[in-house]
Amino acid sequence: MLRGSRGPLIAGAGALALVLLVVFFLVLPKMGQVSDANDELAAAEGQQGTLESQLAALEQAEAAAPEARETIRDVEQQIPPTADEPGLLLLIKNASTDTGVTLATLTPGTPTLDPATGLSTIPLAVTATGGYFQLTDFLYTIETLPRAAKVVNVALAPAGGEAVTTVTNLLEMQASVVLDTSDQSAGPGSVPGPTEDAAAAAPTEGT
Amino acid sequence: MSQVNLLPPDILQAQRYRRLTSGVILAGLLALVLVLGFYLLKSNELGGVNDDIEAQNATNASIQASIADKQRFAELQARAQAQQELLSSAFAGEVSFSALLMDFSRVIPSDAYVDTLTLQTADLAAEDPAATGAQAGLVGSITGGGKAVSIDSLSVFLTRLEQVQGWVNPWMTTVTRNAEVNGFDYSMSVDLTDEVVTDRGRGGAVDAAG
Repeated sequence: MLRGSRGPLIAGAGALALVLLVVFFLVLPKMGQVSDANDELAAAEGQQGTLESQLAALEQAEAAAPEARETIRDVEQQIPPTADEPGLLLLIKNASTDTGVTLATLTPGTPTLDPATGLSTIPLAVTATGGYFQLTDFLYTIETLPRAAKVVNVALAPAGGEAVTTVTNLLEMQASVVLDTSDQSAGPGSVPGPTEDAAAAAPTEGT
Repeated sequence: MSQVNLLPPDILQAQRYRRLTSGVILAGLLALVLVLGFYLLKSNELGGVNDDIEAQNATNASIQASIADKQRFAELQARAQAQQELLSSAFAGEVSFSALLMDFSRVIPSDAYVDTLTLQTADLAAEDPAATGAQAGLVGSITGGGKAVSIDSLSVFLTRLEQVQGWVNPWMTTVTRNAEVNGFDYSMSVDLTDEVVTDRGRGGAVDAAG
């Protein structure tokens, strides 16, 4: 068969065909596998970079954890999880004692939920008697209480309805103060205890 | 002595073709060996890359385990930030009334005094502060009334009121002679701008520790 003048041609064609077959069915698929594997390796290496960034951020968060815990503790002290009316009354009473003013009335209102902030606001009307600077000091003490308190209105008038007074005489102060609690259902008729979800505070049938 | 090739030319030609065919087959085999060698090289490379992938995946899995372990710190930080924002919203628009009273005591002339004084702020946290009485840039007002020895005193009073940072539009609404005290009764008002809002009331730099 390979004899004669066509022998080298047939042998050459056969060898070329065999080599091409091996290239197409073995070498090229293998090269494709190697390329895919290299891509996969590059992706895995890239993922490592991302994961290391995440880990670095978490390690920073871990380092800042004591500070974060302290922040949470402080905020929970300033905005307690319950209305804590006894504590609230004592804070105001202590403020009046420390500053020498005489408390006449304390009128805590019913807490109302502010959906925008998720906090229940407790309005507190305070009537107190004292000198001008005593009352100023009393207001400062309220503004710097360990519990967050915001004064919104103050009215001063002569104490006991005196016709004439000066800034050094006794004045009666009526102040409106606002305090907050993170209890979304607080006050009379509410779900007892801390409530963080307003939906949970809604009365349900059969309970 | 001359040489004579007695081999017939067709046999010589056939020998030449056989040699050529053998050469072609040998070259083909050599090419095949080279291709197979390349194939083995690639197979070996693939094995190496697969090992690297396995090692890399193990490294990634280890990092992911560490991430899962430390995820609680991210949640803690998010909670602290939420609490901080809660505190900012509680103090939103806060005005220091003790500071207002101190400033008032500094600006009132020594020959005048107040009978009544009302300090009030608008609810800046409301969706529409204007609806609560706040004009643009104004966060509240001080109104009051009292007595002064002379109109000069009241004029000085008005001038001083305007010099306090955040106090604008000082106004005497009435000035009436009072023969009983040989002086004048007055009533006044001054508006408060957002400059009187405390740092924590602006939502910035709220110190959780108070």
